[in-house]
Amino acid sequence: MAKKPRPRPRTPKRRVPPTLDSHVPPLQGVPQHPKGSLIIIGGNETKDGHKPILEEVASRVGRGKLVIATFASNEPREQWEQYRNVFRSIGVKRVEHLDARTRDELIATPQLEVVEGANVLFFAGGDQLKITSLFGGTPLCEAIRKRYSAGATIAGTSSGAAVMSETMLVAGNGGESHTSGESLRMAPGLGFIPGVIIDQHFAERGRIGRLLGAVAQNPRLLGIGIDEDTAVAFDGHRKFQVLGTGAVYVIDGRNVLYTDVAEDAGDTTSIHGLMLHVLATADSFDLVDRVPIAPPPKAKQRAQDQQRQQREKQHKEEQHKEEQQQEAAGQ
Amino acid sequence: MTVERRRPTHGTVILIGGSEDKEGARLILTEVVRRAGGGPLVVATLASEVPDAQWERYHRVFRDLGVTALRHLAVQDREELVDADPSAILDDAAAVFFTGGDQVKIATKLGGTPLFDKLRDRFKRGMLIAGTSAGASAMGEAMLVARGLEEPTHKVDGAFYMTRGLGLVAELIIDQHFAQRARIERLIGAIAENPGVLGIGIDEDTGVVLEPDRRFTVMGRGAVYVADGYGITHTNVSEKSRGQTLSLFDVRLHVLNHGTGFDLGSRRPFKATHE
Repeated sequence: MAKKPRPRPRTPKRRVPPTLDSHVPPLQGVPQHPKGSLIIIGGNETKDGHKPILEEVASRVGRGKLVIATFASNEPREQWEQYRNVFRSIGVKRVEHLDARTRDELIATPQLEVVEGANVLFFAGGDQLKITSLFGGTPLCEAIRKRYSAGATIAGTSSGAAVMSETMLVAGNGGESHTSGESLRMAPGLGFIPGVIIDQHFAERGRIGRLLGAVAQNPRLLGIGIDEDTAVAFDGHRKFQVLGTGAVYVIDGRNVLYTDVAEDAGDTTSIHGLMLHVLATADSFDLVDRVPIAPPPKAKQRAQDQQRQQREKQHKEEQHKEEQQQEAAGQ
Repeated sequence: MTVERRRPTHGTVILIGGSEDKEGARLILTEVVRRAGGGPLVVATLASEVPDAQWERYHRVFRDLGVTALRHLAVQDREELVDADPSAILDDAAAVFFTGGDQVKIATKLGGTPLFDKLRDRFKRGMLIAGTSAGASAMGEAMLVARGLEEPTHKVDGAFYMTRGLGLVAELIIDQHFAQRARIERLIGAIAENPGVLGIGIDEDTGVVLEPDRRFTVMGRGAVYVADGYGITHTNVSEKSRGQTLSLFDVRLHVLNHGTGFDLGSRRPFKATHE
């Protein structure tokens, strides 16, 4: 009689909780488990009246200080003064300016003391290549990374937002579909958040075509398009939440079955099977499972009420202005 | 024995995203002419403010492409169409081509007239219908109309409203000049209101040829975006959320280029493998 094959001993599969790091290796120098958080703004955030985004940035300052970096701008002084006044009006006591015009200037005097003790670093907008080319790889950049892994918040608006990801979109036309082999220029960013590619001024400049193209070129990256006056706030690398008046578009290319982005330069690109999510304020997104999360009803209600109040207030202000204008005209 | 049920119930529809090439290779208009098969082609300039100029333009292009019998359908107001004799213009027509302009004008002038009944009847018997820009938008059951102020981010019940189109192609909401005017927001907003319909956004100088078997293929220079709301898991669209920014999870999106296509029956895109 033949021996019965012995059943193989069953070892229960251990469920390892997935983390983003398990499939997206971080760049060198990027902390695997940063204690800090990121606030990434699509540009043109409200600076007067009710300003939920900048208030959120300010709320992270605590007893430390807020540093405003104006590397990207051609008018650093004006930009610094504008933001200083805004943040002062919100109640931030210690606001400092960080700027340099050339890289050797930054290497000779790294201004490390400015960053020391900063709880929030805010990158203002302008030309994103200026930020990375000026300051990537300098001792100052390293100091900022250290602050980030120790718990500081890094915030950025417009091009200051684009530099957060490991790959940033530098050029590419808005208002058209993506063409294979098109001059969609990407450059390495500062890499505070791995696995995503970020575009700003999104709906305003009709940029879905170029973000779709970028995702098609490497579906590992999750595409995040942020409208103006809208922001995503990351706490850790796993989740982000949306705040502000516009929408955030998330493009997930994981299930793309076919694309010809690598073929025939000059032809419009074909991409089959993308997933698109449109997120409004208080919605969040899980980057590991790649699923959007609706806010719990109470939080949603609160966010909606806030939005409504803001709208009403704006409306009243506009009416008031009109009345004043009419009065002035009447006189 | 079962009766053949998949009998084509209508003719082919060609939807064009506007600004189609009229000077060079004229790929899309050539296809319109090829499909019309030399028969009389009716150019309907109902949407336009300048019907005569448009007629002259298309008349020249189509004559260049070899169409000998061309007719012009234009009316100032609906009254003329109510009284018009539909047979004279449509009886032996092989194709009707709707030009661009304002899609609401097409629907308000044509909807419910004897001429439209005749048109639909001829379409069901296989007549080709083509439309560019507003002429494409008007083909759907529902059509998107801008409210004037185009807000970049879609607010619920915001930048557009929907009204009844001619209903020649069911289950589709058609938008044109798509990437050029950055209209993805409003198409997605329309899908949110009724995930049962498919949203189709057509770039300029790009067209889709929708066959009676409910498959369409893309031709031209740009892309065609298909937004499928079938798997939507969450949306904040409701009467109460008026004015809020739209929130919408799990929209499937396909970007199609020349030669690729989409099957409306299975809601799947396909590559250009067979011809």
